[in-house]
Amino acid sequence: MDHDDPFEPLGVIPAGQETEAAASPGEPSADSVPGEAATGFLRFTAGGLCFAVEIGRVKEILGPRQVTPVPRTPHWIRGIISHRGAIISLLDLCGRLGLDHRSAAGFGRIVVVRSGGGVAGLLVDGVRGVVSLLLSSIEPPGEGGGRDFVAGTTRQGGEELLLLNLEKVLDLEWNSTAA
Amino acid sequence: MTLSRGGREFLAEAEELLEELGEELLRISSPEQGAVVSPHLINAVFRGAHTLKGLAGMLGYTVISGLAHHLENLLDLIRLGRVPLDDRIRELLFASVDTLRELVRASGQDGLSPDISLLVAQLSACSARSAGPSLAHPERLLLPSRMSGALTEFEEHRLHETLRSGRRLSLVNASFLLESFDRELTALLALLRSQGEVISTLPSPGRRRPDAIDFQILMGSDAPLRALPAEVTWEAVAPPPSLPAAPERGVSARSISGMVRVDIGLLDELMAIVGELAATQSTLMAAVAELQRAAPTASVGVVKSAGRMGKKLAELQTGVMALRMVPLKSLYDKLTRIVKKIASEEGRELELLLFGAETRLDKQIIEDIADPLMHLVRNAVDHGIEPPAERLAKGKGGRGRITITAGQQGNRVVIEVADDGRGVDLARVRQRAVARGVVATPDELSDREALELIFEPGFSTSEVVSELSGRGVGMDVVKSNVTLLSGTVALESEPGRGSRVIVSLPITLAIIRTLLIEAGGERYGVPLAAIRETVAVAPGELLTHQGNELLRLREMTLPVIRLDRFFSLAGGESGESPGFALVAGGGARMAGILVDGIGSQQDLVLKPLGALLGGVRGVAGAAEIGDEQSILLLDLPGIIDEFYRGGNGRGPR
Repeated sequence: MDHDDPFEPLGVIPAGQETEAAASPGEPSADSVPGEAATGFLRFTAGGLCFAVEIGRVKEILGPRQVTPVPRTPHWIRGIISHRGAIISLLDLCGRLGLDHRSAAGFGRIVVVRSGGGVAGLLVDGVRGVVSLLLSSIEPPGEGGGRDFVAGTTRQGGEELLLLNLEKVLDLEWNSTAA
Repeated sequence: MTLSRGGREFLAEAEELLEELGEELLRISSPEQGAVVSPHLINAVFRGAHTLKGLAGMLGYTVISGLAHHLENLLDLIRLGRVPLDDRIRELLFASVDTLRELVRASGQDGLSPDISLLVAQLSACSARSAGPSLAHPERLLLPSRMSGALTEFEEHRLHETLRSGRRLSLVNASFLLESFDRELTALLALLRSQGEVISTLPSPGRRRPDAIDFQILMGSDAPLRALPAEVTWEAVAPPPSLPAAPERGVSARSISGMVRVDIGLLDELMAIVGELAATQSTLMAAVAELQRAAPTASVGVVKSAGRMGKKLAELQTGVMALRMVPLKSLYDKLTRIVKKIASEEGRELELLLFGAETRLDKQIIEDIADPLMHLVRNAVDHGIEPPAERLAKGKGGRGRITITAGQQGNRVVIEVADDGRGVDLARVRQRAVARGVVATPDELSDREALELIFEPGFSTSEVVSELSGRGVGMDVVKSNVTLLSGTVALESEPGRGSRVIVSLPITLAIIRTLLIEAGGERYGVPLAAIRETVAVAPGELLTHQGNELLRLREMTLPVIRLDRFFSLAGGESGESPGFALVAGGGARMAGILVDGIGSQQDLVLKPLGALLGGVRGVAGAAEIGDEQSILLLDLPGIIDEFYRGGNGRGPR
């Protein structure tokens, strides 16, 4: 069944890495602490902002597919998708963070992340590949604009990169009060 | 120290027990018993020690119950043949009973209690010398499997001894009417005991008559059985082809049963793959059908092969499902232990009758139903079965009986937990309903409605918080656990005669026969088992009463739940367009769930929604249909329940 999918998830990551290397050669080493290992982050865009999550938390990147809405859920829960025989809940990252949808073309990609024991899908506008970041370069988040869901920020190629606090994004609080 | 009434009763009962124990010990030691002591006698001594332990434990005489416990342990090993009954052990048994007598006497006066530490050490030392369990291999005998699987260790040991001593083994079949089987069975057992040793008695539901109960009795004797009543049949059981001459003490490395243990996770994976295959198959069949229309002659081969594949796939699905199915026996064993524990801890005489141990259920369901069933059994003991004195006054017999019956009915398994206790106190339920403002006056509730209230949170009728079931867990929790398994639970009660809880469960959670429906522009699946019937509803056919829509179905009038409104679906208020009502629910809580359209039936593999969405009410889970498409499966009982509670503001009252 996976062969039907024209989208090649594995292709995205190396491609992104290459673009990154070409656009800003040698940048991670600019303010590096000697001997500190860099961590890989997946970079993606939503609502005109650039986000990142640690690559170890990313299970898969999926292309657009049919979504089944689930009633009685907050607006930012799009519903469920079925992939490789598993049911995955799908969150609209813009809606969750209270951002405007700037991309008119609907959504581009689903980033499937591991959360607790299970997985959840984040609906994003596009995936921009993997970057290596030094943890020492990450600063605490500022105020406003969905920053409650941000664990830290850093600058990357002249652009602000927001590191998502997945635990907060995937908080189940709404569910426990609903049930 | 002044004795309470309970203390005096204990004294009287304990002295009586010890007197019997002493007499039985004397009989065991009498010369005419010779080297081989009747297992029946040792069993009687064991039970005596066991009862004393329970009695003393209940009233807080910990020293007495502690010593009785050590005595019981040793006697258990003796009756299992794991500790030989020699002179030294006999002396120790006598000494223990003597000390117990002194302890009981001391409990009645302000005397000094004797020190029991040395005796306890001796008892423990003897118990520690025990050999490993003997292996009778009942599965090698030509016994019905349900019997060989149901033998206790003691019974297996006796079976082993019978075979080793070369005695005849017979299987006796008897069937008695339920109303009189107590008496008749006792008489038959007495007759059989006069001819040999009764090893095991296994009851089962009457095969020929529903109001009868069948018994299979396994017994050993020196001569063929004779003079049995006409309606009782018996057959000789052939000994195993080659019984080892000397009892084996070790366990053979070869597996005897030919069984394989499998991690349930592997089965889940297998099941998921089969589910995906089934989904792919349905896509394939649609494509094949199209091909057949376009090129009828050229596609003959493909159509045939696809059909054959579908058939084999269905067989594979059945096979994988069968792998997940395990008999209830393991759960029954657990329940037996619990009841024994309650009986000994509370010093109560309880009898647990279990039927249908061979009934098979999905492994996962068995695991998930264990707690609710244990709770029902505890409820029966705590709230149902009266104390012995009260029972005797009612002419019931001091021993309370709990009967658990399981059996398959279609694609569901029904488990009934019945007790012969006092039944549900409906007057008290009504009182509580009034106190909680559920109804204004007690008369508003029919008996059936009052019984259903017991499943509401906080409606447990017991005012005494007991250690066993008073931990804030009530019937509402049992119900919600059963509902999670797509099951239903109902309660029947006969005042003074007992109550019965009927739990109905799907055989497997993995694959659910589902009806596809449409409402508010969305497609959903509804487990077919939850639907009583589907009726077409023409525009204008619904009645309206005080703002509630009602559906007339034969002589009934059912409230209507519009699924699109219930779920606040944007896809359109169906308004006056024709639709279908799914009639669901039971008893006083039935409803017609109005949907826009109904489609085909499909076997779907139910999957959980995950932690993020798992708590959505009205949704039981999701399933994959066709190619990477998912569908929500509705929880009709949950929807109806919420409607009746007025959860969405549209329920009655």
